[in-house]
Order: sequence, then C-alpha cells, then structure tokens
Amino acid sequence: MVALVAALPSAWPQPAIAPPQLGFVRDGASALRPVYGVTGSFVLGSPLAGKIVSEAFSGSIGLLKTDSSLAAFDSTGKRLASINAAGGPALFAFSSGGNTALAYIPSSNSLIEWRGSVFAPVPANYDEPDTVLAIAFPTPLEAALMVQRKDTIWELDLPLGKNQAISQHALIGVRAPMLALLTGDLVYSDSHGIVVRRSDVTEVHIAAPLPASFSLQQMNQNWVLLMDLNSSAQFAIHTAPGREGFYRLPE
Amino acid sequence: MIRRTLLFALLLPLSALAQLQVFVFNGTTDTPVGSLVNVGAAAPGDTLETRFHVRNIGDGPATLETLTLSGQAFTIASAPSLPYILAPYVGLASEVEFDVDFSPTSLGSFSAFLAVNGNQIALQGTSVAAAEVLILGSQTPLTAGQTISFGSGVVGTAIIQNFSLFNTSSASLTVNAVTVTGTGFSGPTGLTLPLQLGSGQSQSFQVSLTPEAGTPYQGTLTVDGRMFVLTGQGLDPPLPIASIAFASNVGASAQQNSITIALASASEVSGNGTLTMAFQPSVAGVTDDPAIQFLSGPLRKATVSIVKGASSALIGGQSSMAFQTGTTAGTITFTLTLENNAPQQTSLMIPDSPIILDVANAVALLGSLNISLSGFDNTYSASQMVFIFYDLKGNPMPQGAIDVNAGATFQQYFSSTQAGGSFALLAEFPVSGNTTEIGSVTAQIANSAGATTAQQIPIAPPPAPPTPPI
Repeated sequence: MVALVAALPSAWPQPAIAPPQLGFVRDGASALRPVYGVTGSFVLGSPLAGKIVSEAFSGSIGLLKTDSSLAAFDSTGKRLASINAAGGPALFAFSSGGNTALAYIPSSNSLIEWRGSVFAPVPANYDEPDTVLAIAFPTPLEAALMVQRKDTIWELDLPLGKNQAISQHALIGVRAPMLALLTGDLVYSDSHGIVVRRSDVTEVHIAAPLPASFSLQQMNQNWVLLMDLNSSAQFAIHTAPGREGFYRLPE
Repeated sequence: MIRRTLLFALLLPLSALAQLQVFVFNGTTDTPVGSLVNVGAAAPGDTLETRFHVRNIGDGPATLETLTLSGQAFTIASAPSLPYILAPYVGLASEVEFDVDFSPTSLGSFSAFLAVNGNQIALQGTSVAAAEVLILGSQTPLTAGQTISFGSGVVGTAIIQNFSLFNTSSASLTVNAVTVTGTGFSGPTGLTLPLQLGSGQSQSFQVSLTPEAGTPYQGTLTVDGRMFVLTGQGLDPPLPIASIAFASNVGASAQQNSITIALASASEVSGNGTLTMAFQPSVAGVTDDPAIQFLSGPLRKATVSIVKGASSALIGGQSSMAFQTGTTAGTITFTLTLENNAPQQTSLMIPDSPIILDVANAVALLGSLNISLSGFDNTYSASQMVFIFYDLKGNPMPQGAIDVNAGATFQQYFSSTQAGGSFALLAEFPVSGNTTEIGSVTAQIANSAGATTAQQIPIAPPPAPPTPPI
C-alpha cells in the first residue's frame, strides 16, 4: 500500500526553483565555469577556479586537474578535496551513478579514484606504452583504457586492485579523439560530425561542422564539451537518447 | 649741438634706405631688381601676380616705411602693415613679401611706379591678345589662376569637363600650346594645335579626370602660358546593397540560429561596418535576457567587413555569425551599419509559447519522490501544475491528480534570476509506504500560452552509494 501524503494543493509544498545548470566547462582562459540554461540557450557563469588543465563533470561531481593537483568539486563548483598530482593533463571517467570517478594521469601512468569523499590511488597491473585516448569506469572493480595502436583503438579492461589479466578488444570504426561516457556510450567523430555509439552498439550520427582539431570532455550526464584546440570556440554535444544535437557555447 | 641733431635726423632715413634691397621672387629664388621690372604679358581680364621680397642687408635694424604703387593695371595685392621693422637678413624668415598684380583690361603696354621707401622701381607689363578660356556654356571667361572644379566622381569613372577657346579680338590669333598635368587628369581632346582662331571664332575641347582612389585630385590646364587650376574629388564606389538573412526565419526561443549578410553584387570596394543585436522583451517588467547574444566575440556587437570582389560580408571575420534566441518572448532586432550607408534593421519575433521542458526526471528516495523539471517559460507566467502518479502497471494512483498553483514561486524566481525564462524545478513529494511501487508520474505545467505535459516520467530507483575502498 502506497499513499501520497498531502493530496491537497494547499498542503503540498511549493517547489524549489533555480537556474538550470548544464555542467561545467574549461573556458579559453583555463578557468572552470558553470554553464546555465537549456538546450539551445546557454549562458556561462562566473569563473570558479583558474589554471585548469583538464576537467569533467558527471552531473553530480566533477574532477579538475591543475598542473600540480587533482581536485573534486560538487555541482556548485565547491572544491571537495584535492591531492598533489603529477604534471600535465588528465583523463577522467565516472561510474554509472556519477558519484565516483577515475582520473588517469598520463605523465605518471597512474590511476586515481575519487571514492565520494576521498582520493585513493588505484593499484593496477598495467604498463601500456601506447597513447591512452580515454578511460571508462564501467564497474567499481574495473577501469577501461582506450588506447591507440596503429590505426585501431583498443579497449583494455583493467581489473582494479588485483593482479588479474587484462582483457582487450578492438573498437572497430572508432577514431580519436574519443570519449567514454558514464552511460557506456562512446563519443567520437566521423567525416560528417559526431557519432554516439550506444552501449548496445547502435550509433547515432549528429551532423556538425567540426573544427580541425578538438578535444572531448564530459560536461554533464548527457552533455559533452567539444573544445576547438585552435581557437576559443566551444561546442556542446547533447547525447541524451532522442535529444541528440550539436550546439555552440558562448565564448 | 643743434647741428649735430639735424645731421643725425637726416642721416637716419638715408641709412635705412640703403639697408633695404628689393628682390623678385619666382617661387624658389630671389633675384635683385634694378629700376625696371618687366612683369610679363597677360591677356585682358587675366591677372599676373609678381612676388617681391624686401631684405635688410645692413648690420642693424631697418624700417620699411613706404610701399606705394601708381599706374594703370597694377595693384598691390598683399603687403605687410607699415611701418615694418626688418632685422638684418639671415634667411627667408627675416625678409618680408609683398605682391603686385598686373590685371590689364585691354590690349597694350602698361607701366607703373613702385616705391619701396626711397627705391623707385618702374613696372612694365604687356597685354596681348589671347583666346579666352571658358567653361562650355558659360559666358564668363576664366582668369589665369582660377580654379575649375570637376566635382566628384566614382573611382574609375571619367569626369569630363568641356572648355572652349574664344577669340574676342578683332584679329585672328594662334593658340600654340594647351597642356594638362596632374595625376588622374588627361586631355585636352578635340584640339589640333597650333590652333588658328579667327575673330569671333571658338573651339571646344575636353579635359577629363578619372579618379583612381577616393581622394582629392589637383592638376593644371595651361593655355599658352596661362595656367588654370583643376580640382576634383574621387569617390569610392558605394558598397552594394546588403541584406540580412537568417539560417531560419522561424522565431522561437532556445534556438541557435545564424545570420549572413549577402550583397546584391560583388563589391567594387572594401568596407567596414557593424552588426548589432538588441532585444525588446514582450514580457511586462522584463528588461533583457542575457542568453540572447552572438556566440562568438562581443555579446551583441560584431564587426562587419566587406572585401573587394566579395558577394557577401564577413561578420566577426566569419561568413556567418551564430546567435541564440534566449528564453524570453519579444523581438530581436539586428542593425547593420555600413560605411556611408544608412543603417538597416531586420527583426526576429520570438512569440509566446507554452513551457518547453528540456529535462523531466523522477527519482524515488527514502520517504519521498523527487521530480525534477528543467525547461523554460518565455512568458514568465508559469502557474498551475498538475501531477498524476501511476503504479508499476501504469494505473493512476488512488490519490488522483495533485494540483498546485506555483505562480507565486515562479514569479519570485523570475523577478530575481538572470537566467531569462529558463528554470530548474524540484518538487519533493513526501510518501508513506514503499516508493518502489510507484512507477511513473505525469507532470503538467501551464503558462499564459498553454499547458505542457511530460507524460509518464519513469521513476528511477535511489542512487547507489559509493562502493567502499578496495
């Protein structure tokens, strides 16, 4: 038996209303900025942190990397914790719930996990000489590294904390740059625009005028940030099923 | 004592007289003059100017006290105020100039006497028969030195000025030389020289100016030594007619659109301008929506540039400029201002619309259901909401529809937000019992333009807590 309490309108509490937030981006000045608005109408909020090298946001928590630190932040941009980290950029992946995350720092070939309240280095039996393009966090006990080997991108499934064998498979048709979302979807490009390959291997193609070179980063659960590496232009890719689209963000 | 004083008084003018020397100045050099100066020949009606310089060639200061002229056809055209004290000559700056015009009104020889302090200089001039130069159609002869304006003309297009030579004398005369100088000027055409003109005869000819740039032009027309100044102004060709075009002419909120500026023809000239956007909300009490902006560069102002030969303008350096329409009903007006063109405006109407929901989520928590709705209300008038809950089989829960008037809450939010008409709403429903038995919820929200319904939003289970460290 289920009963909704407060069946009368007068007894029902008023809703809380706030500006809708679509995630975070790293702007052209390497500052962390919230993005407000709705699909097709975006406004950048005030910078919250500077000297950002890499950042990503799951919808509930975010990770950011400066040249010397790794930090976690909440949906308001408030820093939750930070640790010293090797220099250079980082790759990020979020668990399916979006509350835990992995950071891969190429310069030290290290994995660090955000466990919801603390960072913890993750021992992994991995020594990959190839370029790591993206990472994923498919299960709490497993990381996935997408690496470029000649003309093919391979996914290496890496047991965490255990000295177990690595399984691997080729991601046929996927090309760099690419991004693995917490939903298990892969985002990459083809000659016509963006491709979202769902976890069931179906693909959605989003026509888009892509810059010559760009990077991809998760800016919210259903949004991917595409940064033009040759200009300050930034784009947002809507990846929600049935709502796929490509938009330009204000500078 | 008295004799010494008288001697001194007599010697002083003689000293000043001896110190001053008069020169004829031809524009570049000074030539000392004697007792006679021949100023040359001028046709009746012309004016021939002669420039004189006076120097103090002594060791001490000298005063120019007298400068007079007597005689027909000669006048002093300009002179310093007298008395004028001259320091010993050390250069151009220490001499003084006066000009004499010779303006005969009839044929013959003319003379005059010029007095510079005690220096008496005879001036002679001759008036010779010459063809009058007229602008074709005019009855007034041009005088030497007169300026003839060709007016203005577009670059690359010739401006033709018609002249005529007219012999007003009783005898025939010969025009030996007609020359045109100056960048952009050409001619004369229509003349074969030397030209014999009988009494009362005339001959027309043309001089043309073809400007190569949008700048002033100056040249000369010389007819047998009589020079006339030619002037004109080059004009850049006008920019072609420009028209603003939208990628989509459908006005709606939360749209990303783009604007291009097409030219009616390939531009013959480069040019610049600006494209601005302004927004006039149709919602009472609302002044602006910050989301309405260009998506690159300054928010509402873009530079416009037109390259010579181009058939479309660049906006902010790009062939098109993306913009977004925000989340407020009203009118977005674009104003294109190009050099030397009147501003032109094009508007995009954003009509009122029912609320558009971007995201609708529901999640079951311990003891409550949270429903999140994210979207926009471009009328800022959201009010009535209705929620209907369903069980796992899709049957409505026995409580039926739950109504709430959230108008006051929305008004409070819209009056303080900078997010335009966009909103994220969180409705929390306390629940007694097992929330997992509630399968979905339908949410309806209305504004002044209509009602919007998010049908059967599935209710997600509570999020899993983070896993413990390995």
